[in-house]
Amino acid sequence: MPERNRSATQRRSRRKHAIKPVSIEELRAAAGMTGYLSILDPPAAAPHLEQLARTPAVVPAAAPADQASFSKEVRRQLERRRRGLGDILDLAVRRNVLLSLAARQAEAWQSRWIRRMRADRRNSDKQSQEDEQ
Amino acid sequence: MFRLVVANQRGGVSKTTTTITLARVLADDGLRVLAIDTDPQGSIGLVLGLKPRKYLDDFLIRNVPAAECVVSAAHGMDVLCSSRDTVQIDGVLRGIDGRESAFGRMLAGAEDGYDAIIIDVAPSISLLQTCALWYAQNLLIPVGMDMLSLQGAVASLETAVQLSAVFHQEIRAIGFLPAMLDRRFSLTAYVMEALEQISQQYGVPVLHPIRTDGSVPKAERARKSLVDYDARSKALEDYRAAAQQIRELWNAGAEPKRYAAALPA
Repeated sequence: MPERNRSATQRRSRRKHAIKPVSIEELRAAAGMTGYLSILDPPAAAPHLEQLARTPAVVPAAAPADQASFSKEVRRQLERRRRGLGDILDLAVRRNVLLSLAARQAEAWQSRWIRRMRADRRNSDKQSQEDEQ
Repeated sequence: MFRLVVANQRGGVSKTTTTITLARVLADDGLRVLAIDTDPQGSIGLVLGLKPRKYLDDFLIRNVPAAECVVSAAHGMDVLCSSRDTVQIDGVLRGIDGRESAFGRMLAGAEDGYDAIIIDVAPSISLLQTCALWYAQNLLIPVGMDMLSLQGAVASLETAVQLSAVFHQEIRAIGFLPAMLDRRFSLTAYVMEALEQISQQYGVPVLHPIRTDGSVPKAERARKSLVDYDARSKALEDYRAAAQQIRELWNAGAEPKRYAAALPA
């Protein structure tokens, strides 16, 4: 009990830091206390910014993700998405292959048809010449 | 016509509370008051729970008649509210030569039927603020009890001083209004001391201080003015005293060449 009382009475109050009086000179000399009417100035030229604005922005490549920092669940989801994207890519490639095959086939049909038409015309011309003779 | 801009380039110093309460106190005294919010945060409308259909940008940019833009907040007190679109006004003003005059003429057209116009400005430097100062020619600077608030007050005063010199038209600082005063904090005494020093140097009076009062944030939460929320609050008592001083200063008129001593050499 006496021990407890002593600790309670001996508790020191928090140290108070002295505050220096504030002077107007100090306030006026502070950073940023100038250019009060700069808002009235016409806009300043900044050619470097204009040039940057005209140049198409290059989107920086995504930094490689730190796999170790992902939780298992996040990694599983990422993997699932990656697989899904791979499937879509495969489909697109297959579709492209099929389309190119179809296009080649159509080209072949077209050239065959043209050849046949020409041959027909030649035959009909020949026939008409013979008829005339 | 009583025109007043409530400004301090530091935020959170009771500019909006001062505008609302002062407008309401003056309205209760029988004046017809229009409070104009030029802060894109639109705090006045938010605090009073107003639902305007048109805002300051509609009035200034889209030329919508003032009568369609103002909303009544109390008997004798109307508010021209602000919205995020108020930021467009600065861009529009930038492209106008003689923008201060144009702004003044626009607002003069809205003055009909009012005895007092009180303008709340954003805690920043903007063309809207300089135009408002040019128009109102009277500045009230609320000062919180901290260093940054003091610095913002000096910056606002210096802006007024330099605008007066540029426009050859005096923008009078009606006074410093110490706000959120709590004498239990030692810093309060230092800030008040510094304020007295600034007051003497610039010749701008320190008005009746507004004590810290829990009713102020509670009234804001209740979307009511202090008068409606707690008519017996100590902050309201102080605002009434300050409003009386402001009216007396206003009636006394502008002291000529008030800023002469404070202009930079």
